[in-house]
Amino acid sequence: MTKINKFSSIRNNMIVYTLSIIFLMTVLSIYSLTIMERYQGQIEAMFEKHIYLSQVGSLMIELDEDLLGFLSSKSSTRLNDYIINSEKLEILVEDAYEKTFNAEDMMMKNIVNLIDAYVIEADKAIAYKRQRNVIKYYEHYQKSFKIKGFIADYIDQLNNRQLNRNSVTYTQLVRQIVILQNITYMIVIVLIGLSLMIVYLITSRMVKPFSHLSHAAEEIALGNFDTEDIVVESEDEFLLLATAFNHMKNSIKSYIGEIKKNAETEAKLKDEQLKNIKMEHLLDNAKLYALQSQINPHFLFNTINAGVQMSIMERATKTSQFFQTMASLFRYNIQKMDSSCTLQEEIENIKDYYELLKVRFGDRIRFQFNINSEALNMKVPPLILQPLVENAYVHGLSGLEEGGTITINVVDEWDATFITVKDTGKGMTVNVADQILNKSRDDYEHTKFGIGIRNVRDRLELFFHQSDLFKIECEKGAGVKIIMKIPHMKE
Amino acid sequence: MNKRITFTTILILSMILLFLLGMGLYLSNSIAEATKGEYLWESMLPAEYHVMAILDKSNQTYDLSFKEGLKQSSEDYKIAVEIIMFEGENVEDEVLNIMDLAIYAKADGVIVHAFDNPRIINKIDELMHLGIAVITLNEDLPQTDRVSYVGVNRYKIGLEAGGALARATNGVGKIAVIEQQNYQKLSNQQQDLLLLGITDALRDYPSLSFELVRYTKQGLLNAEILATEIARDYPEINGIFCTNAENTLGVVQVLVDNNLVNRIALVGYGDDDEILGYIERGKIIESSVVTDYKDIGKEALKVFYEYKKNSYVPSYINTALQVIDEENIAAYMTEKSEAYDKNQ
Repeated sequence: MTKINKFSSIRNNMIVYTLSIIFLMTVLSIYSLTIMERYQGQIEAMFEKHIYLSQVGSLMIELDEDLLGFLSSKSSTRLNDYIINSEKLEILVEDAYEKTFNAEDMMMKNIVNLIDAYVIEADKAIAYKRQRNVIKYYEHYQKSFKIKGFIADYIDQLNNRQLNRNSVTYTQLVRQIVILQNITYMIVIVLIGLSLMIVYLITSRMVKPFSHLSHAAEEIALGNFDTEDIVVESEDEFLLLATAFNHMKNSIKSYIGEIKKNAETEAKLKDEQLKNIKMEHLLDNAKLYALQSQINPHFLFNTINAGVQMSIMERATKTSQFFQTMASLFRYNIQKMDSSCTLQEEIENIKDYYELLKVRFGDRIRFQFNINSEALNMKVPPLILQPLVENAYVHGLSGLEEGGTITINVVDEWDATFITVKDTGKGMTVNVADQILNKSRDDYEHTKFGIGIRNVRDRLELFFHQSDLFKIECEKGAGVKIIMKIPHMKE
Repeated sequence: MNKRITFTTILILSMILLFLLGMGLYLSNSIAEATKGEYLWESMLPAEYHVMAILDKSNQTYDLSFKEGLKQSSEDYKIAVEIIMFEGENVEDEVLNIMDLAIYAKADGVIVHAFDNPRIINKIDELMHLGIAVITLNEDLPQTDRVSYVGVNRYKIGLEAGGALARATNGVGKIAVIEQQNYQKLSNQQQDLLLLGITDALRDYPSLSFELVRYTKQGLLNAEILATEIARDYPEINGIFCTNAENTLGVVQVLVDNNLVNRIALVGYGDDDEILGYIERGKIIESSVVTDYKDIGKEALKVFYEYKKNSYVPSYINTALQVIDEENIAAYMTEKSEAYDKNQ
């Protein structure tokens, strides 16, 4: 039984295809989210430094106001505010700078260092204020004021710089958003294309075997079992289905073949039986013919035997010989009607026949025998030579004043023995010969001309189950030559 | 459809998809990078030092060539350079103010267009005391603790200018010098060096004498007035040397307008395209003394770096000087244009 690969079953294939499409859609979603996230980050980054710098600037102003407030009023509240804001500022700028990668980092570094310097100077100013050292606190306040100016300048510069860059970045952003939009459209189109291809793959993979099966089923329904086996490349349920279908088709085809073969054998058998019946019928015809030509063989045979007895008694030796020959001829005719005989027996019969003719016609009818003795044991149908010799005598020689010669040749070759009956009589035209041979067996009743020849030919063919065993060569005025081929029967 | 075609199409579409996704992410990434600001250098490495360059906005020394020199060394030695230009009437206070900024911002070094002024001298010493390396331009100020002076040797300028004037006047006549005076009078020492150079150059030409020096203030018109006065009051003067490009171009206008081109030979200063054009066309400007400003920028940062690494550097660095005349103008212009293309 065909086994399917459990990893490539229809269910698993469907899962893989569905997951592929889900994966593609997930890729699209993740891509879109990533892009959105980057843009969000980008927009945030564009403003985060501004916000940060604005916070630093505001705190600086507050810090300076607190410092000035304390220096002018020595108010502990202002000092407290100064300390709080100072700490806030320190925390705010704590991680503002790490390394200088670009000009903005450099400016940020300056701001951080300047804030440090500011706080140092401010602290000194506060300390001298507490010591009531006016000149010193004023000097340090001046320094802190100067530093505050530097810080403000740097914050402005940095803000301007970022504003400039942000405006460039924004233009770039808009341009790139357009490009990205186009890319996203293209991605969506490609994804649709990919999904369609995957759907096509799934459907074609499922529909194709069904289509093949339905076509094959249609052919079988029309009786055509010679369709090719359905080939399924996948190792899934379709393979099982296709294998079962192919098996079913081949089984039905083989059963039908067997039935046909049996029917043919039966038909052959019936044909054989029919042939046998026909042969019997032909033999009956031959018998009838013999009876008709010899009146009543039994009566004649008995009469001839009486003639033999009488001749012996009257000591008429020749007459006795004549009657004996005649008796022998009739005996052969009567005995051999429904069995096979040897060629030698047939030759002997013809010799008897010759003896009778010799009595009637003397030397006017002459016989020549050229017999290959090796062929004499050949089995042949009985009475195949006598009708031919009779024909040669009756239709060929009897009308001729000078008589003629009937030659009987028996030649043995490697695959067959050839028997030739040839006369030197009137002969006949080829057309006549064709007419004789081509008349069907059913025409026997309607014409007696050629009946003996056809009878011999038909029996020969039935006996050996072969055609083309009989041939007539003739010419008007030049005698007739009948050639019979006796095939060598295989043991 | 053939199975192979289907799979090939899926493969091609997948590759296109990957390419488009990659391109989309790359583009979105490049946007994110844009907010970070340009790196100082292509290598994207952080700076090791921070140097403030305090420069005179009106001085042509600190033009593109000088900045190019700074940029080159800054990249070579990973030094972040912050250029702060000063201008106005009270330049000394400006310089002092920016030097204070360098102290508070904790810069590692200062390249300053210095003046021979006690407050500036003290400030230089204060910076050096705080560990901020000071390199002076314009004024040597050897009396300070400064690391080094980088600039042209004014004696050599005088020597070259004197030689050029002698060639232009065929060694006969009288010559005048129009000197630029920035914000204040130059120190005597500087003045002496330039004039000494000219005098030494004329020593081989007994028929040629150094007649007078005139000082201009800011602006082109000032030079024009001086040149007109010289031409009117000193008809025997047949050669003028200008110590900066602006003055040179001002004098050119006077010579052309008063048809004095063939009477007074002009030796200029600098390699402005206009000046080079006049030399190339011939007759109006005979030659021009050109300082390699780029070299000044380069050397200033180099000496700072070497000082930070070795603490021992030469106290005086002279940069290259060249006289451009009719003979070498073509080669010089080609070289300049190639350098410009390279920078582009």
